[in-house]
Amino acid sequence: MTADIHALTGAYALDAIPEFERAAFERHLHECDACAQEVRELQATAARLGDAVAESPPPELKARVLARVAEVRQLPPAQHSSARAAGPGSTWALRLTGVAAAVLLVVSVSLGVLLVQDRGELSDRRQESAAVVRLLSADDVRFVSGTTTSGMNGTAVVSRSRGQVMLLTANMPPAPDGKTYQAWLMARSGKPKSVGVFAPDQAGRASIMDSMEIGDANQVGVSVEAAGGSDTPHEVVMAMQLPA
Amino acid sequence: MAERVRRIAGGAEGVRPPDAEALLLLVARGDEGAFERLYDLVSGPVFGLVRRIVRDPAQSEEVTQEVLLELWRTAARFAPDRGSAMTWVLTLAHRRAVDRVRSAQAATDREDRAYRRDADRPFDEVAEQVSTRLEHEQVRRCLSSLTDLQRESVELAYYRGLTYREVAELLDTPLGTIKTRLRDGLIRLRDCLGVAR
Ligand SMILES: [Zn+2]
Repeated sequence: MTADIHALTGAYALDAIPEFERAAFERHLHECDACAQEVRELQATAARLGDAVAESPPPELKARVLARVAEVRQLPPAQHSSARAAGPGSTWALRLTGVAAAVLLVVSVSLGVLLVQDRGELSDRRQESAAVVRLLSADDVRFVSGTTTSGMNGTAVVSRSRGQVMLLTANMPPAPDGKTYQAWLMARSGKPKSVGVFAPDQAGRASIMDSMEIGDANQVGVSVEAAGGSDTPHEVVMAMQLPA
Repeated sequence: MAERVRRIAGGAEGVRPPDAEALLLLVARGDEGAFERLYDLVSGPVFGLVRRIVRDPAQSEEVTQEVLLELWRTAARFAPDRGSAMTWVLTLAHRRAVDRVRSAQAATDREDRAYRRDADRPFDEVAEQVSTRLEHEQVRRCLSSLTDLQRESVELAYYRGLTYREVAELLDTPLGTIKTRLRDGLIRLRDCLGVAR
């Protein structure tokens, strides 16, 4: 039976294991790294089979689901179970690594422009990635996200303790001919501070990271400016409130 | 203070739809706007897969709704280092759909129904219904590269929610053989599709 049990990875990845055997195999997965790895790969493979039969649900389902969301309470992030040999500290570290990996993925597939304004300490892409990881692993990292009436999406990742903000955009059309997009940080008082100019990729995505002190900025915005950028924003197309 | 503009090379993956992983992170923080965008991204694959298994349209909608609300509820448990968001979503959807059809089957007539469901649908129906959209063409091609027994076993298990025991009875093949075919069939698909190791 023990030699046999490794052969169940395929059946498990397809949910083709009867309930009583599933529990036994899941115990085995905790002890057998080879099977655990194979199951992850085969589940990813099975998901491709699922994706291949995509079919739009009836449009009214969306409103029904969105209406229910407000009533459903969300689970907290990690389970700090004391029974785990690893202990709560490493669980937390693992989760942060996961978060960082996810947003790094955003950055690395976006084909967008990453604009870095810094004190010269970021000199290659690996260091840029490291800066993103540091931002995402900050204790006080916060996310805000919004959609403009014209359908552009913006997501800001902010850490006050690190003085960093990263702006990710999606669905952004190319700037009009002879114009450019410019990102800004705005405080309650004083002039908006330019973060720099950028151009979204063909899919309308861009990632902008400013590693300068964000100071008391409470808004991040994007405007359309003459090529080369301006001293002050003219046509603001997106503005988001930053978390305090 | 130097200001530099950089272009990040994204490789050939540029056509990927935006970032279910990033949306899940936002959803985990209670962002309903991000959930709506996640809905737009995953509801088609979820509904298509659930419907393939559950068949009945009204029940398929119910299960799809359950799955999407489960995503909202458990978004914080998504671990990106263990697989992509779409894999996580579709693994959950498949599990829920299978739970629905298995609980609907009384234990006594399970095999009987498996036969009847089979009689309703010839083997190659699923392969034919696989969308011909360009990115799905590869899935179709890879499925057809399997041996008949591998393909039939994988399709019966995945698209109809049968257990390997039911597959073995249906195909009149020993249990051990079916277990092996499910595994080596998926491994061949994995390699054909270039799923990351
Ligand atoms: Zn094993």
